Amino acid sequence: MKLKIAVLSFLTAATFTACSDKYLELDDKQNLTENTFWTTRQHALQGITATYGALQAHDGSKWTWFEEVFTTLNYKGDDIDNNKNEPYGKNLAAFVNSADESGPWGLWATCYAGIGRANQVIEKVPSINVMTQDERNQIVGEAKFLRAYNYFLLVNGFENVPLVLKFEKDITKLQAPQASAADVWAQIEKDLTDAEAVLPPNYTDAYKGRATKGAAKALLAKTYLFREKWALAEAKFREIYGQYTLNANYVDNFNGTKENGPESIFEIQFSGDRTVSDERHPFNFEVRPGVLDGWELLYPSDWLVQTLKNDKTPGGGFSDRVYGTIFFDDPQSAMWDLNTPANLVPYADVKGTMVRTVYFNKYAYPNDRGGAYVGYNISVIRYADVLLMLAEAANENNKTAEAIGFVNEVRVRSHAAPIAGLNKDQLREHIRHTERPVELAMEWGIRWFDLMRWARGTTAKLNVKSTLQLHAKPSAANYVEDKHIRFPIPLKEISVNPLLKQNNLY
Amino acid sequence: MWKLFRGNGLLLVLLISGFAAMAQSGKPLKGKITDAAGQAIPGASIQVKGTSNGTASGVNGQFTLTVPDNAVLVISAMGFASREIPVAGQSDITVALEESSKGLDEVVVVGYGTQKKGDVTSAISTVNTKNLSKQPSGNIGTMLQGQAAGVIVSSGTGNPAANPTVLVRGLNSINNDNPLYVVDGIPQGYAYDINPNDIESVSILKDASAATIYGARAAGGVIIITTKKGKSGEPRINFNSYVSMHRLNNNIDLLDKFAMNKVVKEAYANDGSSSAPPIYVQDDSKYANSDWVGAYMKKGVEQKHDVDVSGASEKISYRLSLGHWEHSGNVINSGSKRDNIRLNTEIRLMNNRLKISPIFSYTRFNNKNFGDVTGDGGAGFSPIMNLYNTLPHKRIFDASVPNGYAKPEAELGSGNPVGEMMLSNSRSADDHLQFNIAADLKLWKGFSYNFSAGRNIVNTFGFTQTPAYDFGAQALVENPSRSESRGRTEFQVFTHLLNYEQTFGKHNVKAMYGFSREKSVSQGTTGSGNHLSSPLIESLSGLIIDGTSDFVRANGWNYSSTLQSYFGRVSYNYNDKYFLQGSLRRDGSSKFGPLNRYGTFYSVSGGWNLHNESFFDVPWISELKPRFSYGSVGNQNVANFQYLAKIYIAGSDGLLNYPFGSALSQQVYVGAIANSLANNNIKWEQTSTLNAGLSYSFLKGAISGSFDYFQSRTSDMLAETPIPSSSGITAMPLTNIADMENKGWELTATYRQPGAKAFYWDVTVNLSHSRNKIIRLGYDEGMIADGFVDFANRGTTITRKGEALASFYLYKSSGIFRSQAEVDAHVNKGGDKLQPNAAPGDLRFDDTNGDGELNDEDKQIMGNGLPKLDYGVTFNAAWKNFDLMIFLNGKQGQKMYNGAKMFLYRFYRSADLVNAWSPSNSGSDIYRLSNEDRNENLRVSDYFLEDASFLRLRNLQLGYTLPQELTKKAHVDRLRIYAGAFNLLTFTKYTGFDPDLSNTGIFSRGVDRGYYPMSRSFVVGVNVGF
Repeated sequence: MKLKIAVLSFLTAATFTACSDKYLELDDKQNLTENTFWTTRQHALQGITATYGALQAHDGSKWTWFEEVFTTLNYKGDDIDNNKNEPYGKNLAAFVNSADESGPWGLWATCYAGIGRANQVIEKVPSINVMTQDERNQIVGEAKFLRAYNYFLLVNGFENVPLVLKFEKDITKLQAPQASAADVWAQIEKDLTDAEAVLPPNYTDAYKGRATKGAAKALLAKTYLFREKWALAEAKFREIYGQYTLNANYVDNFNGTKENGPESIFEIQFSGDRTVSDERHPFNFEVRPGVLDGWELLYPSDWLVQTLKNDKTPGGGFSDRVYGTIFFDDPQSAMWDLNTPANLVPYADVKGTMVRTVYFNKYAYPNDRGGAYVGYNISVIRYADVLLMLAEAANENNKTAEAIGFVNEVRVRSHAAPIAGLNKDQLREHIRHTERPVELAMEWGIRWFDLMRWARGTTAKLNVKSTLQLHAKPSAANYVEDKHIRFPIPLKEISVNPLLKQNNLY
Repeated sequence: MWKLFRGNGLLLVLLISGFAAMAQSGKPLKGKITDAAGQAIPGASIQVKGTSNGTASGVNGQFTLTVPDNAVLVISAMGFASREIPVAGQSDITVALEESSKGLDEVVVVGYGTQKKGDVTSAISTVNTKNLSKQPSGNIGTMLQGQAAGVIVSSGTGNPAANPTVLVRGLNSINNDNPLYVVDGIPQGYAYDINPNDIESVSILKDASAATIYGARAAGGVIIITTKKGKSGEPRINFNSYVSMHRLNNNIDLLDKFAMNKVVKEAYANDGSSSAPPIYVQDDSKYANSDWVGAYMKKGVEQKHDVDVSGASEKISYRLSLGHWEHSGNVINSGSKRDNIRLNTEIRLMNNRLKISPIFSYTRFNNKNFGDVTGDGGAGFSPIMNLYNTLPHKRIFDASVPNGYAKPEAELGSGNPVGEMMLSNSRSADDHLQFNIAADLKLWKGFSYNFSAGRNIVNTFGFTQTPAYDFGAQALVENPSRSESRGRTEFQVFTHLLNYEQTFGKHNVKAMYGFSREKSVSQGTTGSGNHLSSPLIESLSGLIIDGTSDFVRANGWNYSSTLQSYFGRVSYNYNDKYFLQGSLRRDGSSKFGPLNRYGTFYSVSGGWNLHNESFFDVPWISELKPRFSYGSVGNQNVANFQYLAKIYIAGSDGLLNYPFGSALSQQVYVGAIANSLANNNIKWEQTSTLNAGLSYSFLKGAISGSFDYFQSRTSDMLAETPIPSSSGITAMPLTNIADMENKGWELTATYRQPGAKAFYWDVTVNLSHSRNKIIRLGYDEGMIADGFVDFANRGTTITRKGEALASFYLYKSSGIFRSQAEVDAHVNKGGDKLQPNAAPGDLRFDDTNGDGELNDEDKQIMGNGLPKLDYGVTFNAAWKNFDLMIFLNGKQGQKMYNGAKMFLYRFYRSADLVNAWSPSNSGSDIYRLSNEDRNENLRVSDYFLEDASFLRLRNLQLGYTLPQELTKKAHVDRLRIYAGAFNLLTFTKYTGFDPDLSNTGIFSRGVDRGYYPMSRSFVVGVNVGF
């Protein structure tokens, strides 16, 4: 009897032992895999949506977008004076940054996240048979536009970057070497040319904000401009000249009321609608003074304030864009209240209670708030910028009079007095150090790249350090010309990719 | 069928050898089993060694049995140490058993079995549970601190709801390095649900020889816990209770409003910049002068009450225990409660041949949550630093606001940490259930079969509810909100063991073969919304959507893993002199792809009882046993499905989502795409350990202990591996990236005063040391930077080839520039100033590599957060009815990066700043005040790196046991009252909150980001036995 029980128990054990390895084969119940994705129209839309999503930073965090990406690209400009007690972008702005600074990595990773996703779309969408050819072409075109946009930031910011055009899945083959800047520029032009051909001029209301034909043309023209291909640039800008219109009110470009509107060419989309997920950003807090609930991360530089204050109406008052850009000691200057969003707080109410006397008013709006943060879009290229770039190209092509006309289109909108009688050099100087900084002060990706391209180019070459010193950028003395014109290749990246060569002097 | 034989080959060999054993015969023997006091023990097991012949004692402790003349009886009873008695022709014997005997016959719990202490050939620490029981704590992890050599426990945080970090033999891996806990045979990742009062024994398996039997999960060591069973005899009731009062160890002084105003004004003035100091520092007569820390902290009360009933008869033993522990915490609206029920039973059937032991336990945690910032990566937001940084100018309370908390004046910025902490209700209620049934059947010829099945079910529930409040624009909650989370993890394990034990003359053989399967399924749901229609509703059903700013979201998870294992162990000894043991385990895990699913781990060990040799004749040495072991263990602590190419989609996670549309508040679309890379080649991480040890006992056991030296090498460590982000992927894949080695030693020594005297004392010392080094990390220049103290900025640690894991990597400072001349003199070879932005009073940083520039390459490795020496000293004494325990614990040679101090300097809150350098205070070692900090005094440097060595009087307890004559009248067997203090004194040079509050992240160890503070407590308690 005992023997039987024992044998029985033993056999039970043995049976368990004999069970196969099927016990170890489990299914992932939470995720689709590459084998099951990329088969429907919806998958293609989800893929391109994710590619756009990378515009808001590699980790989708709007904090990362502001504190790493925005500060990295913008704080080096002469239009911004950063709060020195805040670590974000501080060393970059003081030109004492080393390669382990997190900001440049944030910018780098954000661009490459967009590129990696675009590469997936470009590779996978063409084989989704359930979509029409046009649908597939359009989505691939959007991906190429986004890939070009990201490479544009990379090649300008870092100059020497890997040119990755394929989504590599083998983790042992991820180390890509740097390409020559010329190759990267050529790829940008190619992608934008491809995109321009297939992108629609417009989207339905539900999908506004996606890349249009006009956006591709504008970015392509801007690429030509950066390459000093003045004739190509002018021609391409002229293809969209008159296709857009300036908003009647300057401030509507920054307060969300005309999102993806008549002046908008391409914007990074944010939203206060939290029903699906959180797509808000903290920009309103970043610029506002403490007494108006802000964090004061950045201020307009003294030079910018001076330059702005020269932007007068024919009647001698300040133009709309002065009031729209800064909050300063003036009877008409006011900032929106965060607590009661319909309320404007006149400068006089808070005068003397602030750390600084002048603050940015641009992007300080409490519109489209969801809770404390805001959802208004951040402009990448708007029509006023296109007009000024067109003017710049036309001027270099010796069409100075016509160029003055383009500049005045922008000025008149803000009731600034038109300019007249400038020669080619004077106009160039005016565009560089008056018109562009006044119209586009502090906007995403504008000023630093302007300073950089004028220093790198051959037309009226302008050394960055002397501009910075002339404009009293704090710590301009630390600027080393052939070093700080590029971001360092992030140490974090070099430490995992030995093929990368560090940029000069870092 | 072939598979079956192959899988059980070892087993068949054992069976055959079992049949070869001899049959039995003999003459009758009668006897009695008693305890040390002569009281009969019913239900004790009397077994003829090496046979299945045996019986159990009756109600009066008596037994009869037929035995051969030369038989050796093995006598065991639940709750008593077993004894081996040679019959030697006697026909009537009386055997007294000791309740908890010390020495070589003491039984040590090992993986899937027990061993006599004298037979152990591997490195196993056992914890004296009597010392544990005197520690006023509800957490077994905390109680282990300083109690076993080689087990390093750090508090992590003072939050009573949190758990300490437990490391066995230091850091062995860059991957998850937590030990495996095995509670009553059930392997699990934690054991914090257990009531320490239920613990019978704690064994820590440290070397491969001991731990290989748990193969795949043993790389971090194994902590085996068994729970108390009923003891033979009449039912007993025990009641234990203590209450302790906790007070914060607050050693950080902050500036009050007046001092802060002065400091801030000076900082701005020193910069000579266009920025005016903030308006609020300019007029001392305005604003409040609040003590935020005082309002945020409170006196804590901890109490623990346990009652248990136990007993055993011939056929059944039982122990039922109830426990309640609660700790109100030292932070307002925090705290933790735990309730335990446990029923352990053992049923003996078939004349003691079959033993069935069902165990049931239930634990309930009720926590108020607190968001400490621990772990690796960005530092995130520390509520404690936020509190310490809060301006004293802000008012705390405001009677005119309905919720009672003040909204700060706009210029002071948003936020009221006290109001936010009090109003936001974040709680969790978690149920832990454990069912475990084991059946042990004695077969014949030394064979026995053991089957056990266990199931752990963890149900978690948490919610956060916040009413609407307005503490300024950045601390504005427009509507009452609520989120809930429910999870369920079900773990099951089946184990079959076939054991064999036989003696052939002087040859003793013990073998075990086992098979087990484990499965864990985890599922859960979260729901949240930001607009409850009324704050009175405490249910998600009250959520509404009233405009685009409102949301109602759901999310969830569902994943499982399995493990299938074959294992065996053979031990052999000759004449109790020469010991050999070999173990083998083969694990298959669902966490790895089909290519690398199985891993094999093995170990061999040997020992020599030198003292049993006839030539060894040193009377004062009672044990001298050199031991040696070598073997391997594994680590599979990784996430599931790393080998699959996943497409990421998560509706409510903004990562891949993006809005489109023409409206102001646009519709958000859900994105999906590959956001991580698959690793098909992922495989087991293996640690090979060599251990050489010596167990000793001198002066008839008065001095005893052990010494162990170990050297381990962990290969193919699995870690999140940084990859080039140019791949488009920033999520780090797990790869077998690195190798590291770890060396160290441990010493345990106990002195027990021999003999029974009125004054009795003993002292136990534990010492351990370990040092690790990275041998390979990706390619040669590869490194992992971490230990960030300012969100994603200011990384303080580096992990790279040739250095210890998470070494501090910092600029070297060399004092303060006392004058402009000193600034000007700090030049490179070319005569250029190394710190052109510096002014007198700023820190001087060294150009350590002499390249003429001050940059990253000047950072140096500066030690790490792991102690060089971890020690504990436990002293027990008894005099008449008094008993005293003193427990000291310390760590020597650990560094801590004082990130909290960096923050308090940056935000002008540290009281140090009144003494900052200035021309009139030019002797100060605190750098000058500057708002712009052009010299980057705040950069990561050794200025903020401190020696966090400490010695702590961790526990002091004085007890008095009332005389039995007195208590007997009240039907009380034993009544002890005691009083004591916990964390009474700490000797340290560390200037931060506490040298033992440590980051839980592996790469951020020793980085102080400001944690829930530690407390000091005074305790009174009582132990009663009926």
